[in-house]
Amino acid sequence: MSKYRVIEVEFQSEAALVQALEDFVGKFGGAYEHHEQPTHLVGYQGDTRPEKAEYIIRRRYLSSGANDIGFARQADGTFRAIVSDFDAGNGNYSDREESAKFAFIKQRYAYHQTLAAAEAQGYTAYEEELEDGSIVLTLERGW
Amino acid sequence: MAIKVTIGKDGKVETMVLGVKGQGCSALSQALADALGTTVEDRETAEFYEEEEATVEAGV
Repeated sequence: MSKYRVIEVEFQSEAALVQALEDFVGKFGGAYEHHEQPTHLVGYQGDTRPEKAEYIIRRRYLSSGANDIGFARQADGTFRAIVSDFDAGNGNYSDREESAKFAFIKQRYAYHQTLAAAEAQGYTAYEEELEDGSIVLTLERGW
Repeated sequence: MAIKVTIGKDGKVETMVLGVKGQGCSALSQALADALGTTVEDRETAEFYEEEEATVEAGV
């Protein structure tokens, strides 16, 4: 029986994704776009990229030099984050402003998904934020 | 009995089941793992056993 897990977030829930995008706008300003039909992303030089997505944060709301970040609906209903290595902060790019913003979306997504799963099973969540910016949710259920 | 979920600033999630009695928290732990993404590490910890013993002794 496992007691400790580390989970890499995937964007499975549209509802939680939208909540996370709303949080993004609340914190950083700007906007996100929602398209019924997947729409092209734009690259950092203003070039139209081949990738398309239903949810898009345009590069001007990320940082100078960023590409658009998109969330593209997959056949199974989940969303794939379209974000370049550069913007994701992989390798040598970890200091990029847009990396922190993308990480913020992941954190807020995980937060909303956790609350939804806890509520569905009758748990109450107690929340605190640590100095390092982590969010701790303690989930309890009375018997 | 509780689950502590720590969501890092980088978006990485750690879940820890505290004081296990019955299957409830394990069910939620699994549900969380399924809802959040892919489990990349999965183990039992020394703290878990200590926590469990303490809970039993306290008669909770």
